[in-house]
Amino acid sequence: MKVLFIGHSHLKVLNDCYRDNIIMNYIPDFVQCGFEQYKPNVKKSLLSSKKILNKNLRKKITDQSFYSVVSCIYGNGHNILGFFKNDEPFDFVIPGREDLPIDEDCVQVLFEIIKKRIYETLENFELLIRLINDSTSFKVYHLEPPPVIPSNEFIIKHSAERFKTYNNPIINSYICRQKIWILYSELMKKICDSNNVYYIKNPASVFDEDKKLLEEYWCETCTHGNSKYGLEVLKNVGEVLLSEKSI
Amino acid sequence: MSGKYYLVKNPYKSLPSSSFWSKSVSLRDTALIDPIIETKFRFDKDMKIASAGSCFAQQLSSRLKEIGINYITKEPPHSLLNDSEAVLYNYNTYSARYGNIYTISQLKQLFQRAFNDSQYDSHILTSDNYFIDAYRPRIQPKGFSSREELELDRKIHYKAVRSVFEELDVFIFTLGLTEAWRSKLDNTTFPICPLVFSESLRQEDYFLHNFSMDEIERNLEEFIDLLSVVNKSAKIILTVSPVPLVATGFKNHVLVSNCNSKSLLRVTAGNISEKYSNVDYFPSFEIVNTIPGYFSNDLRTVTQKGIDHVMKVFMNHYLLIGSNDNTNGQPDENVKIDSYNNIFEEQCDELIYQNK
Repeated sequence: MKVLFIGHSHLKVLNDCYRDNIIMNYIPDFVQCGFEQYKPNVKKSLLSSKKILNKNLRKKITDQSFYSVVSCIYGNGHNILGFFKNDEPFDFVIPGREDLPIDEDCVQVLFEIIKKRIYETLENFELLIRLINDSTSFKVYHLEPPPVIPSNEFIIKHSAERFKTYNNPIINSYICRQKIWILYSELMKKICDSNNVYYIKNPASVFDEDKKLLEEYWCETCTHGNSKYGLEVLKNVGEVLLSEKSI
Repeated sequence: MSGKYYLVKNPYKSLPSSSFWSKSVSLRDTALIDPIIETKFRFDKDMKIASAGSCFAQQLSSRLKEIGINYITKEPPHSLLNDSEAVLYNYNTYSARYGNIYTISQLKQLFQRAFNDSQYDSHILTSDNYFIDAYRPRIQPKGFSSREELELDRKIHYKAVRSVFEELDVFIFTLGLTEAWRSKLDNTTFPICPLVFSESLRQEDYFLHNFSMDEIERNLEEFIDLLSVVNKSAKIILTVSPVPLVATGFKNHVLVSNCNSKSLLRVTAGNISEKYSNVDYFPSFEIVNTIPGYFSNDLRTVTQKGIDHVMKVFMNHYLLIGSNDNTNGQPDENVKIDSYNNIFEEQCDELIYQNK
């Protein structure tokens, strides 16, 4: 079966690891939403004021040769809020996650506010995933964003050059980055659930017992998974698709 | 003898105009009425001013900030909150995020909790999956998202409260009410009856109390003593809110209860200010209640004109000369417009009793 993967920067990892490996029980095709022919991904209809999908993107996702569509769009949105330390470092409490530590040296921001800010970063995701799902007759899946890298030392080592033009680029604490990723992923799942999009969580194999991303999956870009991670994700997608097919 | 009396010496003859109602009130241009003879102290724009109190205190704190004095706020909003969220979540309404404080008992207990750094987990109400801080139940729109968040916020809040009282030079407190709901279990005084927020509470655990003059005075003196331990040079300005009660929980007509309440508060404030050299009384109650047109049609909301007059008198007497101008010497019209809006949006917790 053919499966269409659509996404932004995370797609490259999946694309690269597919090229480097022989896969499995399906044939992926990749649509990079950032490519010119798919931009803008969403625009206003000339006939009405409604938002519609880019016609090339729409053509691709309605291609009947595919079995399903797997999205990994907006996988980096949590980094907008969380990657760099805010000028006023902050932390927050996630309800039901009292197991997560609190950094009391930071300004505590109310959960409702953090949730609002994250929802704002997910507005475009909500629009795009809804349009994708509405446009296609296939089952649409969405991949959980790659987990954050637990080591600030690793990030600093590999991103110093890339971020040197940024103003005061201090990497946020792992606690805060992790919490923002958790909340971002939860809200992303809620959006998927409300749009009948099946949310595929990261495979358990990429985590240690403390739910941290294992070092072998860390990517030097620091905001994506590496090729090995991509392979685990593709394998996991295959298993999900197979189990769905057999139902 | 004709029955007429002749005054050999008129004891009032040598008194100033301010001693005569006709000269200083009824025959005076109302905009010029100024009931203050002298204040015990003045402050400049560098001195740290903090405030707390009932809904009327929100007006005062808002104006104090506008006139450029050094109004301290120890619990500022994070930059992740936009301006309207900061207002909605009661940041910068007062010097810390304590919400309205209606009684001196409530103020004293806040002080004690903050300096004992305790009771993070007491009097937490639950409603619709949210957690409400009974000490400041309307501090945010629905409540806190988790018990842990509420307890952590209280810890941060108490730290801010400690900073406020330790650092202030002048504390302005607006006395609002004598009636308050209290806990039978530990005599905690609440700003709003907790039963309003949570159906799971037992009615028999709470009671409505009308503080007597003795109790008000005792609480006020205890608060002053407590403050003096952490801040030896603190000065206090007491004022009584002119805003009438929304409702009384007792059998009297609300007009009667209101007069009783305000009278007790006014007398107590006067007594205490006479007793303590660092405590002064500011007559906002007299200004608003005497001059026509300073209440709007509901006979409860203080008008813009009323607030203007109160602030003018306050600035004339408490601010040192030259310290009541903005840096460019001109009033900021934009800021003034915002303050007009604030008047109509001030949060008066008592109104919740009308709506329930």
